[in-house]
Amino acid sequence: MNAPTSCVKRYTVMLVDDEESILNSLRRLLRGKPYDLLLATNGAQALSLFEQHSIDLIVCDARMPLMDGPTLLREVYRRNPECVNILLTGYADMSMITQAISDGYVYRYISKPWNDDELQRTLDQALEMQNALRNRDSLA
Amino acid sequence: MTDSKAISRETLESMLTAINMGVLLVDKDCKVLFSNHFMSINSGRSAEELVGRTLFEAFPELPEVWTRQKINSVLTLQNFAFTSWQQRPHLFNFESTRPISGLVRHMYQNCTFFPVQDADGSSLGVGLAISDTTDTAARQLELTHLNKLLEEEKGAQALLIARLEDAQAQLLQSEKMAAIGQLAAGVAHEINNPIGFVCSNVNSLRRYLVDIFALLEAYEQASDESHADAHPELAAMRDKVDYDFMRQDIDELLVESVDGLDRVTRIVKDLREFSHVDSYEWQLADLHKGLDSTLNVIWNEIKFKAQVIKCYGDIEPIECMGSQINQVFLNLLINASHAVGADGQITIRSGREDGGVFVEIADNGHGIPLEIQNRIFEPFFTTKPVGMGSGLGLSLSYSIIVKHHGRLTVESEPGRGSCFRAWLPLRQPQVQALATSAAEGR
Repeated sequence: MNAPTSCVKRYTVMLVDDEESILNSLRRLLRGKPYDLLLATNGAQALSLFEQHSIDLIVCDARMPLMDGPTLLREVYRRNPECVNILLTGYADMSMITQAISDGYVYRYISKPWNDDELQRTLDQALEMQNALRNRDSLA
Repeated sequence: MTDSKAISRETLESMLTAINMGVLLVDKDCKVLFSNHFMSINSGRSAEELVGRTLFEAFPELPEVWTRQKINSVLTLQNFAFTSWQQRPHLFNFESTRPISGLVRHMYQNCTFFPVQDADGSSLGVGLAISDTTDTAARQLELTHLNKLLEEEKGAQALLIARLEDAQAQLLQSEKMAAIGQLAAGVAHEINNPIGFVCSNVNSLRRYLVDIFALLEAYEQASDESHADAHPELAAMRDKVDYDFMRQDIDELLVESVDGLDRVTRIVKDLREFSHVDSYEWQLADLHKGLDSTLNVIWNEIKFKAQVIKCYGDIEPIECMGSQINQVFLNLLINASHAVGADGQITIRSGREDGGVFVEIADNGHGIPLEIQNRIFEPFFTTKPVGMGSGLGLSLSYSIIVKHHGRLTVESEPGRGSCFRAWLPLRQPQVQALATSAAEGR
């Protein structure tokens, strides 16, 4: 019998948004979760964090100066397709979102203002799926 | 008059005979005394055949009563009488050959009746001078015809100009709408960011407070009375900050804040929908179901204000974006509930019309003043107090109905109430075209 605490897997989650207030509110929302949170306010910073850590999931704003969300996530996907990418978007540019999703580098998109429960559920599901895939691959 | 003496009677007669117009001389009994070449050529009868007969034997087409009257009046008054081609186009039944086209047609004539005296000055009879006016008449008739065509064209052009003005106004309106839509979409995006984190923070704050209060309670329970006696300043502070009130009020404060944020979110969502940023699916929807569910959603707003009377007709499901149509119902119902006073009544009617369906939402409220009736569909136009209405409800509804190829109209009488009427087609034209082309493809 394992001790229950050892069952709780910790994930590394990176939040990217050029607005710090958004990062802070997401940090508060995910405080009780078994996540190690990394915060980045721009694409370059996010990529450098991505190099240094093994990141399981990224929640990323769509509109950012210099490097926008889809570009960053495409780059992340190129480096490690296992990382689950979630796009957070304030405006519904459907063509951009569908393109990103059909190209496979964005798992889901969440519109701003987000619903707290929905965002948490989405993260839970995404990580669960990632876990299941990893388990399957390790069995193969 | 030496010159006239030089001209013989024969010369004058041959001149009268040869002149290129009809000349007749009749006596008071209308017997023909003289007829010239023109008359013979055109009637096909020689002068001998004509002279000696009455005018009406010689030319049976002449209207006898009228002609006799003319001749008698000339004899009596010893004065001219005249009839033009406009009055009697073909007095004599002659034909006229057009000089260029050779086209044969009835000859148009002017005819002058003039008194003719004897050598001794007594009345001899009446002369008729008949001139061929076919050329003039043809030109005149053609001009009249052209004039009529021009008038018609002018009318058509006036109509066209009116329609152009109409289209221009519509274009201006839709350009205005598009500009506002673009602005709205931009504003909506900018507002969504702060709303996003404020909403989330308020929720986090609520969770934090639950924990903090639990902790405080635990402290309270842990500290026994002796502890309270040892630290009277704690009780004093508790009283000073009115802890019990605060504790209770924080819940209310949060509920109100969340409610306010919801309202902001809804306005931004309205703005985005108004600017067509979001789209929904087209599907067959039962409007009565939509009306009922909308009524459920806003029952709290309506129930104390007005009695709702449903007069649903027999309508079939229509192709629409259900959520958007519901939004229209919502706006109209809310507006109706805002318009009514005591004994408020909101009547919902539906039925078929013009190959589509209509839904009417009528109230017995204060009505819409005449001078603003044509402005109520403009974005940001509102008569509600600041903070009560965004001024987008009706313009949004209007654009939704137009997008559905329908019509949203209003009839209102100040003091009596308003009736908003949405008409929607059963099927959408474009979607139908797509469906048929797909069927043809198969």
